[in-house]
Amino acid sequence: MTRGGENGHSPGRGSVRGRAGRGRRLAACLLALGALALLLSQAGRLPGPAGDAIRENAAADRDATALFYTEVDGWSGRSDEPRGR
Amino acid sequence: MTDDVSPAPGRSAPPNRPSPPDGSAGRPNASAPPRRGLLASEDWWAIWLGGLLIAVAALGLLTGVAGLGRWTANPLEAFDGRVAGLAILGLGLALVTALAAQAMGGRFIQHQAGFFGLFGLAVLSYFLANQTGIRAAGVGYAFWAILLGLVVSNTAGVPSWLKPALRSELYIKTGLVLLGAEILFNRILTLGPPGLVVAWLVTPVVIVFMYRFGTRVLKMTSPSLVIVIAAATSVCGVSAAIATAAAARAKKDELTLAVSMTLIFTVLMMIVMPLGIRAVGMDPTVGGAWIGGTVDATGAVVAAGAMLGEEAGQVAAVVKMIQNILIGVVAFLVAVYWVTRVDAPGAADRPATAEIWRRLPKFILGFLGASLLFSFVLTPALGDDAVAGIIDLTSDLRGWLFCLAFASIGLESNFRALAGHVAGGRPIQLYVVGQAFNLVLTLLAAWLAFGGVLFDPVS
Repeated sequence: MTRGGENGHSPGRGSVRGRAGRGRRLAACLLALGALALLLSQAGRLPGPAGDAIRENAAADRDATALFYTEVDGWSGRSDEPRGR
Repeated sequence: MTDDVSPAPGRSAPPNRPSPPDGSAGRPNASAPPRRGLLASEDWWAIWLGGLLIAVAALGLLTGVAGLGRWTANPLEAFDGRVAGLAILGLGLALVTALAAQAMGGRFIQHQAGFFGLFGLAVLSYFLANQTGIRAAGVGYAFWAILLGLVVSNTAGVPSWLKPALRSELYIKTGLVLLGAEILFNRILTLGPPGLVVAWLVTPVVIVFMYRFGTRVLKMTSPSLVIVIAAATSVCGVSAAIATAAAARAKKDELTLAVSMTLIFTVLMMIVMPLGIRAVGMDPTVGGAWIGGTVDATGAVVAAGAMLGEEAGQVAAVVKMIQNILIGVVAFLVAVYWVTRVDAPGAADRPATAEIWRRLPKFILGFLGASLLFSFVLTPALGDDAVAGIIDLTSDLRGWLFCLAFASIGLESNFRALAGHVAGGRPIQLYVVGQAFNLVLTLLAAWLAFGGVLFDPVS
């Protein structure tokens, strides 16, 4: 029995239904998100150049997600490489 | 940044109303004594917390920052031997941010309780980003944190116990103060003029072009959205978007939109540009410089440059590094421009110096101060290696703070607001036209600087 009494349209019952609906939507979206993660984790199996690029990154253990140069491995040693001869 | 959705409890800014110009949150009125202002503003707290974290790292009190491990097929590998470290990190961040929250009018215990939920989302974001395939594809924690937040807020809704911890501005601005430490101006001197030509001549031109194109040709109504997209496109993607969004007090969904676009296009450019360069037989060094000046995120630059060979990879990385350093200058100039021009469009509205100071987002002082401290005090005093060790720590902390901020922004955003910005396709048009202009101009600069025209070829 809901807090709102026996009326099927009571706020309590509606809120339980609403919560269940929101829970279902959340579960469905999380499933979709999991599927997206699974697909991306397998992106290296793509045929063609896109797959090649990702396979090359994975083979060289390159972090293609770094946002700033200090997140790249060995960043402090990269400063004076390309200079005019 | 400002809220455009319901703010979390404990925050003073009502929906659709910008935060106070000085970034204060929870401050009852502008006549509060200055001392209270220093403890009641997110901008100032970002400086205190950022300074505290830098001091802890520089004094050797912090020897490592917990993170998740890489994993391929077994998810448990991500947590192997790291759970205790993550718990300590979560507790530490919860404690310091709760102190700030309480000083700004929030509640210590409620913030702590909500923070662990938010930290859980951040851990989940890093967990997904650290999967080797996803990492190689260039889909980082920012993407997952925003997406997870959006999923929760747009389906089940944000639970009330989580709301007190949703202080995205505090996390972003504190992260930006730490980011300041990573901007080493003294490194510019060692990088050589060719990289400077590509990174520093083109970038300001592209920003100005995109800003004028967005506001005058596309007639986009939000200048802050335009500048955030322009900075993300021309400087360094997500980190530039964060810095300029904070400097221009952009709305959270504007930052979400700019970051989402830059993340998607970065992955595309990381794959397409090396292919195109190889297909036309371009000099790999010129191609590397082109990639370094145009691909938004540094990780993608390194990956794309490496596909052209070792030397091209180095050139790409260094050009990007020089461009990264511009972020401090850009954020500062945007903050000043916003205070003096955008917020005061008429000549009669131009604020006096004292008013400029009052409106200036104060975190920018911490951002620049950290940069100057590391560039001109700590590096000469401690040496490059010691400073690099400190930056490795602050960089990890900054990553966690940005991740918390993105999860928080996702939780505070809604699809309807995002769809409103995308309507008409103007932000995408701005990005595409701006990036096309950037590609052409950077190619010209790369050819002039690295093609043996203005300088000797690089080695």
